[in-house]
Amino acid sequence: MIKLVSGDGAEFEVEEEVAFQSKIIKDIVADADDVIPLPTVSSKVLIQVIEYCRKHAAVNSFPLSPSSSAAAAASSSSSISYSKPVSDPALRAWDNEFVKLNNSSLFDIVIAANYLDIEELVDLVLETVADRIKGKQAQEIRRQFNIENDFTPEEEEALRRENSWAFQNN
Amino acid sequence: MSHGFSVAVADLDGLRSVGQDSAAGEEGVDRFDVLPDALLLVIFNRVGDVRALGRLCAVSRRFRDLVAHVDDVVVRVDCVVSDEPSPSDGAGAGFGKPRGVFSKLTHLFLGSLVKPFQALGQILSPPPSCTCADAAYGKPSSSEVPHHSPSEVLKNFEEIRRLRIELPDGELGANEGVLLKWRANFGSTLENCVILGAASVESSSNPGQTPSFNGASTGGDVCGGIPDAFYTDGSLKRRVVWTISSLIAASARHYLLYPIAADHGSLQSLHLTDADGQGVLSMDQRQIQELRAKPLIASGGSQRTLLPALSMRLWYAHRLELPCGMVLNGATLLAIRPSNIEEAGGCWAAEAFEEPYRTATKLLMKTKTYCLEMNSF
Repeated sequence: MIKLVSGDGAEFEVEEEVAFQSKIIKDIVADADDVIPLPTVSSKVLIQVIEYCRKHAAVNSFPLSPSSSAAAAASSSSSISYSKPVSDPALRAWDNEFVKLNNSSLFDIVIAANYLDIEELVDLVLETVADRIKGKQAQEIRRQFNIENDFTPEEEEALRRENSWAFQNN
Repeated sequence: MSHGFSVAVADLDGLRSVGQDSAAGEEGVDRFDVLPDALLLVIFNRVGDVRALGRLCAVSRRFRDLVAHVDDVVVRVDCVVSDEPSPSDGAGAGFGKPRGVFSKLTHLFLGSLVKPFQALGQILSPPPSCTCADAAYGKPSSSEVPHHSPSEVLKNFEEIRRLRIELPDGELGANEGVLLKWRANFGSTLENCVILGAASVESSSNPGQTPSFNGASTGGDVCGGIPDAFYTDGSLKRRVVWTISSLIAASARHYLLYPIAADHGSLQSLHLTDADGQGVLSMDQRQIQELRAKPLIASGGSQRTLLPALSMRLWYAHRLELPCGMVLNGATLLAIRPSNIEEAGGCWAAEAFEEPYRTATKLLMKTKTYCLEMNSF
């Protein structure tokens, strides 16, 4: 068992295979005792990250359909689509539920996952955020993510004129 | 093991509510501020679509500055405008000295392939009044409805590495029921092309069986040979039309990529696809560099790349039943390479398509091979 300590002092005991979803923790554990302080990660976020790692550790250690994932990997090598190969469908469905969170929670998770080097989780969250901004107009994106419009009206007008192809008939 | 889990779950409810309180207190904060540029850039790369990226530029200065660094871009072309003055001009110049079977088919070719020729004069959307050079370099036009070429749309992206351009339809208006797919690799001109066609596709009455061939309906070579009627009933003509149409579509697409390859030195891969899944033109980094280095040679007066003399290998099965239950009638596979390039085995053709067409390709390649030659056009 490995003990993870969040920035606000909460302790979480997790199995090695769960903690090792994080490449950073895997590296640290090799030359440290089994208590790992994670000062920049709040307990709220750490709980969510552990939930994710627990699920993925379980599926990764008992792959449901090794042949299908091998086939996916093989076809992706010559595929022209850029998205990563689709993993186990049940896990994918679980992931889709997992990311049904508000934007700020997602950002907290992705920052923690990036810090902990949990590649799949970083991918999952960033893909989700990308989906949320894809079809939206600039104004909607600003509102949804509380982004300040720091262009002058003249600059914005010029930008819209220059990129007019992006703003017509959507 | 279960102990650790229960601790975490016990904490979950209490801590989530605390977290929500603090989130509520932070309203009005720009949430993207907390994301480092590197992660935001990954998000923008996932967005990919050039229109969506153009809108992201207008969100804030930070967004605008980061969008310029996106290296994975998809351009979905929504209309194709032709400025080819007359299809016969291009076609007449296109065939140098057709010989053998192709010379007899020139008439058919002109009659039935007007659509691809017209549609491919200009894939991108400059108005018909606009000249080719204007289109290629994205100069603004005076037309009422503005059109924008991919070159124009892409000019602010300086670090594109992977670019995919998707056309709204395949160029070849195949007749109902006909299956036609092609995949071509180009450098400065065609390096190879694989075409898979079938006169009709149906589903098997008893799927799950081992794949089977029927080389000919009556007698004929059971290994998938060509029956005599093939030469007389129009079957061969159709295959020739498919082949030439596909090659013209591919070379017209390639012609349009030149300004993009020239403008974007960072490109590592380039795909020109269509929403129908009909044709895929691919170029890798070496091929893109080759196109940039060698001047493009147009075919006659038409707006497509001159194709070299070609060697083709053809495989045919009167009826090809795939393990998935799909049945291809009159299944035809062509593997095409320039005549002056040594054949290095046929394996490059076997991987051209996704399933189930990959299996179809592999099965067809086990049948008898017919060789054909074609002049440069």
